[in-house]
Amino acid sequence: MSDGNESILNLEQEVVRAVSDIKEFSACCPSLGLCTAICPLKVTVEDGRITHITNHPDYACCVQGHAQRSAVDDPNRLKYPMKRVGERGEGKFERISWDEAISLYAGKIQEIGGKYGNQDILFYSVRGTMGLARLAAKTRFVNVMGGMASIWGSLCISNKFLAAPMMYGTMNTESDLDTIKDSKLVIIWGYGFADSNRRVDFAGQGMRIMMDARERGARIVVIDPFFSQTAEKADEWIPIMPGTDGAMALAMANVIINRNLYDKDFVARHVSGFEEFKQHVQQYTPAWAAGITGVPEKVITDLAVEYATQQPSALFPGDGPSRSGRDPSQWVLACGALAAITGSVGKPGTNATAGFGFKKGIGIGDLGAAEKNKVSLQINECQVADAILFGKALQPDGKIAPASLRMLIVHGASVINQAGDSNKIVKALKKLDYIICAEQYMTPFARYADLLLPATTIFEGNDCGYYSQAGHVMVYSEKCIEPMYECRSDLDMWAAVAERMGVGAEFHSDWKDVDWIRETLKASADVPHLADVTLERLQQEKVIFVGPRPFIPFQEQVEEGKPFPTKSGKIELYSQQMKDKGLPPLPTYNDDFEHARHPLAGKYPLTICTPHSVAWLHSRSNNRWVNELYPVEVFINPADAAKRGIEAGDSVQIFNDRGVIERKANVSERVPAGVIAMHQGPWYKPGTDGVDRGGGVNTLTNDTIDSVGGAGTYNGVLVDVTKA
Amino acid sequence: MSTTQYGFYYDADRCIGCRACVFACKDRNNNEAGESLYWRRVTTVESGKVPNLRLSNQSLSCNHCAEPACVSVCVSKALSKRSEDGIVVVDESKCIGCKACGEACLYGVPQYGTDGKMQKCDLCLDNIKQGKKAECDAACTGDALYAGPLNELARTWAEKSPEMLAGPGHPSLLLPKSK
Repeated sequence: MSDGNESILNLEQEVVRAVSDIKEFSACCPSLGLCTAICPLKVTVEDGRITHITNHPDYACCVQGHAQRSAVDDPNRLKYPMKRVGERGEGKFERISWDEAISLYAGKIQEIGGKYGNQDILFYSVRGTMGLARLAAKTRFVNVMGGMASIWGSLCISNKFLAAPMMYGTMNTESDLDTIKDSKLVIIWGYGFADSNRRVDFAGQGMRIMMDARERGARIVVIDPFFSQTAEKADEWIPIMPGTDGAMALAMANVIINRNLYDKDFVARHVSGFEEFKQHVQQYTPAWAAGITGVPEKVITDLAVEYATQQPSALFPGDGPSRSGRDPSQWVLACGALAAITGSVGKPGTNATAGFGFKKGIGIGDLGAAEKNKVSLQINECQVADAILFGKALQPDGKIAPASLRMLIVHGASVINQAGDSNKIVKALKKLDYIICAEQYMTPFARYADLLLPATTIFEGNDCGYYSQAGHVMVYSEKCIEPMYECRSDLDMWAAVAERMGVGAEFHSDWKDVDWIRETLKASADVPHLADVTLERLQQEKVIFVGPRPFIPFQEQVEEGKPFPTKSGKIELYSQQMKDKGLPPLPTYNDDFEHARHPLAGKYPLTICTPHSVAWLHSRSNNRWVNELYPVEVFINPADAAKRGIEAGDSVQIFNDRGVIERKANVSERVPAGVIAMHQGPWYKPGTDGVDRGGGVNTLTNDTIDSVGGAGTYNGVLVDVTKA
Repeated sequence: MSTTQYGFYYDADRCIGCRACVFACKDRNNNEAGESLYWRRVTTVESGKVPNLRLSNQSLSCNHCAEPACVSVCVSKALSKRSEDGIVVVDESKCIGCKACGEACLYGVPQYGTDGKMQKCDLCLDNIKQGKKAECDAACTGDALYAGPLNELARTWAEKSPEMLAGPGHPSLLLPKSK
């Protein structure tokens, strides 16, 4: 053993040497809650360079946090300001100075705004870096520029949050997942806890809570077109055709009502519109739903009976279905109705419907008040291409406004990759006069910029993550290293542009990132659970927990008889608010999208579903480590593969009228026949033949949005697959 | 023989196949000779058909065997088993890159960098010396993987009746009793 000990001696000396110049910092995962967990990270810096990034010792983070060193060091990072020299989108740029870059940024706003008006300039919001430091600053910048067209709706979750208020009178309708420790049955409907960190504060927390509940005896049912790692840990997986979830939920209501299994006492005390709802759901029989969803009638009936009789039960409507089919907000409302008629509301072990948790939000007061934007024109985040190509923009109030966009300013957003119908967006971008993009990497969108500004990563400044969906945690992110290369933060760019335009003082261009955090918190002092959160406390404690846990909405209503925050004081199954908007007042299934029964299925017989991967937060993660370990594949059922002569590992092309993607086939039972699954996130990269070999799934999706939530509905479009 | 044998406790039923352990290990142990090497690896294997469809995850690194085949075949004495904790370590300065260890190890653990030398898991020895967890243990999102002295791990997880993996070389890997 002497040899071994000798080698260890060497190792110990090495460790001692290394320890002497190591500095450790506490940061926040750059997702900053976009995913929607907020995981603190431990960052090791040696000689001004990041040498390790791993999870905080007390909290796990997901692979994306662990891969951050690979992301910071990525050779694809933008290093200095550049202007386009070739054709737009060709990817040819020339290095320029920051002075010239700021002159161009300010000059183009003045030129285009001066000639045509600022409504022709669209400022595209900053979801790639959505920390507290930029929250108020980004809207304040727009305001001091004299206003610009802004974004409404979302690429993601607004279909979930804007539906529930129509029935429950508030967005805060979702219980903390912790409550399932008291549930007998848990229905996880299109929620990928293993892949997307939803509904929790930290990565993995959802799966741990779910596996713990199951070990204690709860039965877990997962409804999902894709057999995820979440489904693997459940007692039952119910595969369903993408976009048809509303049909199944309404059929479950039909069974519960017609079998007289509803909670009469709860309905009498807390529900209005029950009779209308009862009559309305007669049309949605389990046999009808079976034909639409692909879920056998008996499975639908059995689950409905179990949900109604095994109380307390919790149904968690997730993010996949809320972005599927036509008007998935109707499904969110149908799930809310299921909870209401079974009395699964306001009690431990239950969940009302999809929404926020207890979070009341952060106020930004006058700091960045969107109302002060002098330009009223808003563009739906999913339909920027339509606004550019056709000069029309759907407004949040449902009216159509004329639009004549000429210029686009984007900070940290992947416009081409993450909105539906990437090829259409590219076509639209070519029509614009000028595009400014501040980014960390040469993304598919960055290639289309005229002015390209290199942005810092989270580790190169101070910020704070505040937006976990469960809403119980704020994580401070310390500056770990100086900005790399010639990179600057968005804040510094806006300050410089404001100075150049002569409105520096108005913008607060002398404020540093910590000042923005401090002042934004001050502006939020009227939010009760934030009253004692200060910059100093964040800097000292790094991780701060806020709010009661577990949050179970409507306990006061159910236990103490207080009114629900609706007009009637009850859960409104018949929603006058919906009727006033010209929308169905009762939860309704709308079959008007691309599915297996659609005429287009004759040409494109397969439906795609686009789940999240644990390694990708939307388009974030295109780094070497992730690309090595997470191959970009298309899951196709063996029956569909056999028909097309496709074998595992073959390169295949997936196509429809909107585009063509090439990926490797994973022939798998994880999708039912008729459905293919492709993880979203990988980068759109069309070749000269137009085939996207990067595998950006939105090459195939469309840009339809929900009529309540204004967010995209990407799941449930038709394609076909062939061997490449 | 070692007085205390370090090793792993791994519950595949709790493993969600996320590979946080792989990346955490990679972050600590990445080196120029091993840009594309992963000392801990996770495999996910699909089997069966609905309703018996399964995804089986397996997270594996060096098992620090009680009788490590790699050590016994190492002619240059680059490999050794520490007497105090049973951790199998490699002294790269002695490794001649003959790859005999790779042939001998039935778990596919030894990997070879661009410098030709063998590299593998050392159970985060420097972490353990500082009283910290191994990186994979600290990173696990599913409460599935733990590293430490086997007797302590067996005590902690007594309710799962853990058993040592029965395999060549007697790997230091505790698994919950299969149901």
